[in-house]
Amino acid sequence: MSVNEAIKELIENLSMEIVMADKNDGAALTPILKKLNPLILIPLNPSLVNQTRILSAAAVMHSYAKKAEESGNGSIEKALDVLSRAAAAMQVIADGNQPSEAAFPPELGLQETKEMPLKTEFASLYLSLKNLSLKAKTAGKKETAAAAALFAVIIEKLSNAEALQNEELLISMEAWSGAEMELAGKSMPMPKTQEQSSTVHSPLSTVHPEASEQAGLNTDPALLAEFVTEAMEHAESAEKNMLRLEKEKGDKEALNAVFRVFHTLKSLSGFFGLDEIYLLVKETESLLSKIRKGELAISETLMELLFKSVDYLKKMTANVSASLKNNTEIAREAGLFGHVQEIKYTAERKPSVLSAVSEACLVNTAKDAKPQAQAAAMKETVKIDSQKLDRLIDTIGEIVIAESMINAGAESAASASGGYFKNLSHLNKTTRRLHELGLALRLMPLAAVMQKMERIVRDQARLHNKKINFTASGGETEIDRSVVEKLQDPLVHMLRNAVDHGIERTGEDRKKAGKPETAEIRINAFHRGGNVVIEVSDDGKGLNRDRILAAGIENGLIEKGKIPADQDIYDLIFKPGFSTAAVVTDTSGRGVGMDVVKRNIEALRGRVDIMTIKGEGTKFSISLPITTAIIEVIVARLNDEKYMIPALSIVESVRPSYGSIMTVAGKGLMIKLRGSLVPVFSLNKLFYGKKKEKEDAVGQTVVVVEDNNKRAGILVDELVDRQQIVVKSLSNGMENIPGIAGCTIMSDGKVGLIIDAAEVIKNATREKEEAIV
Amino acid sequence: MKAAAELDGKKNAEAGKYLTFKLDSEEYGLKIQKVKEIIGVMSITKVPKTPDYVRGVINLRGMVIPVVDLREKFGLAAVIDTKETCIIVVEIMKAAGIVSTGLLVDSVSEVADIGEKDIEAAPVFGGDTNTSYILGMAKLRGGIKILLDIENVLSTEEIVEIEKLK
Repeated sequence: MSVNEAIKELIENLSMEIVMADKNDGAALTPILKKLNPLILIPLNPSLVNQTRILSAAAVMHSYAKKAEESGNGSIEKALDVLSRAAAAMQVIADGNQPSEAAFPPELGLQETKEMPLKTEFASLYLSLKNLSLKAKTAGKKETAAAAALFAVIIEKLSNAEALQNEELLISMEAWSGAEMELAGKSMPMPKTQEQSSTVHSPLSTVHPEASEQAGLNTDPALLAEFVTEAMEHAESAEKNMLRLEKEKGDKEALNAVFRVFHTLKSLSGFFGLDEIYLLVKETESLLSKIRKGELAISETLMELLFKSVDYLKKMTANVSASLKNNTEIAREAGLFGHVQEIKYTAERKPSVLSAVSEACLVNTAKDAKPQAQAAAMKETVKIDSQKLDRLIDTIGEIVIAESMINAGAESAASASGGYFKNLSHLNKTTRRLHELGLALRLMPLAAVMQKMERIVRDQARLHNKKINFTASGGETEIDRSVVEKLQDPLVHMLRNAVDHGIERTGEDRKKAGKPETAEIRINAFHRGGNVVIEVSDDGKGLNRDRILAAGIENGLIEKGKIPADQDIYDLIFKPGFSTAAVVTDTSGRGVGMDVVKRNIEALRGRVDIMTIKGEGTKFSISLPITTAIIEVIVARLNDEKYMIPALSIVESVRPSYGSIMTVAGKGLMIKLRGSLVPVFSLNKLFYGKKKEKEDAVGQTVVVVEDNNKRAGILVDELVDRQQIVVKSLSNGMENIPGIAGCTIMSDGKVGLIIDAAEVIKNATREKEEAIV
Repeated sequence: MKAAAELDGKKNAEAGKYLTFKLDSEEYGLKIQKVKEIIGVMSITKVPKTPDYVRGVINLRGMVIPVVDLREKFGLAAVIDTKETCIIVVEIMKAAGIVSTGLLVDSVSEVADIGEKDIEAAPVFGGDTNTSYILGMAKLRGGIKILLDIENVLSTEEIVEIEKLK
């Protein structure tokens, strides 16, 4: 007999009993009560909502009848009337129909709860709780009943996506402790209903029992901030090793490294009560564990899942960081539960035949340990507060200046003894060494940036459905810390361009061109002269000269009829707004990219050059000064002011003979330099707007500077010295004075200004064009 | 009369210690908390394309700071530096953090303790005259010192002008 039929029978019995009751019999209600009990205690089938209503009705009738019994004979008649109507209503429900409003007598106080559309998963929970509540009430366990009822309300709210007040949760939890004590006097395990909830998609369900207990204790912002830093580092490390794993599926070291990351993060996030992160890493860790044991093979889909996990991890850690900074709630990540379910599903697949094979692979490639990678990681590192580091380096800079001041003074020390100069030379050597060390502290290897690039190329390649092999070399090349950070965006952009535009659209296209199907994108870094050179190259189609030329004419960047040199045509892509891309894709083609790239690199005092061969590929070459802190300059005197001109920008200096200077109509002063005319102008004019009289370059020196293939001559009185100086920036709103790149403290203690050669050249050529005779 | 003056202008000056200095025969005061140090005049490097009242920059133990000629700023005639001429280095709070600037003055007098009752509101001259940089007037031993709001004197607008000159 089904439950439903059993219920119907019970209700029938009940009705009969009520009908047969004698209203004058004081004990008439007792058998009715007896008949109500089984209805209350029926094992509840949660999916049959009607059963709850019957159950609630029965319970209410029970208490009503009891009260009537206690209050004596006078109320028996009324009670019987009420009960019989109620029983009739119950029968209607049991038959699967809705009773009319009037069916349940108001005396029962049975409120027709408005049937809220509880989602199925909530419905079962809700009903279990309600059931529990009623059972508890009948059993006289008031606390339990109250607690269960409170939780039921919470579930109801959740199912309607209503906001929960913290107090509600707290009160419910407190009520539950009361219930526990009431039920047993000893601590009970979490009730069945709570455990069931762990399979339900509700925030409550992700609560890890231990974690939530400690949740209050571990929200110390300082500790959380450290967690954020560590988690980010772990995420980077995991990603790096996942990339290795993807390339070399048998790389045991890499797999273990990834596993360790998630294992560590599991305990950390649990400790901090970061429930969602905990859930994510816990499931990912079990997935990884299965892979380690050989129960699962590493497939493309699996790697995708792992990468997605890392992405979620990064996003969620960033959310924690943001919530710390802004003092708000931690934002949730949409799609997280979906992702976790996917992981669970993948993990639960039965071990495949492949597992045996992968096991074999794991064992065989026990030559796993990539020695050089490990060795590189072996360097012991120390974390330093970057502010302290900067101050240390500033101080070292001061010592260098002080030393040169002493040097300058020493030259005029007539009574210097032999020992004095020996000591001075020793000081020189030590300072030089200290200085180099200081500079070295600021340097950082490019490897970290390159690794990020690898991930980006990989993702982009998948996005565009292209097979691309990415190699990075020269990661140990070091460059100033501040530069590394600013390099990222330009590099990302260039790589995206390479993937999107550089590489042929399909493998077929490549095959037709006689190239291997898998394209190559390379990034290479090395030292050359005083610079760090970073090359980004691809073996794709190369730049299309004709299309760029056409677009250049179209955008008005080239005059019609003028055909510039090839190199100048390629340089057009650096102009703002320029784009020949047929389609504006998500990654590029909007024409805002390459000019920003160029500007960013120039802001770092670097330059970028293009080399391309149609059909064979393109190479971008970025050249940056290793450190921006110290440069070599030529000190020049003009009137009684001294100016520093960066040696790198100087081509040569001449004392023009009378014949080589000329005033060209409309263009001002020029000198003839090996066949070409170089415009000359005076710093006086640039800086103070007025020309000194008799500034005609006779008897003076012209320093020829060059930038981007353009030249100008700077008129000075004489060259004084060649020095290495520490570059300081002018602050207080004077950072952007045109023509001044910065300043330094000279050996006489005075402040000396550093000339911005590029700016000067720009002004010089512009002035010449505007000059009135 | 005091009431009338208060109605006219705002009394922003607080009681406390003020460093007093001279420009011509006028005495001025600066809150001592803003003053970092006082140094004798030293060689100032001219920086082109800066407003006239910016004399240039100096080297203060390795830090390069600008020097503002207060005479020029207040529209007084220029004079040759004497051995009394000093640079008062003040520290003010800007968006970028704490910024040091030097003020070139004729001479420095003393650190005076100015009480609440000695301070009067800045007079309102009417018209467009902007006197937001005057915190108030202090009466001290028969003389009147003009208490300056140094942040206003070196307000950002002027420095931003340099940007506009580009």
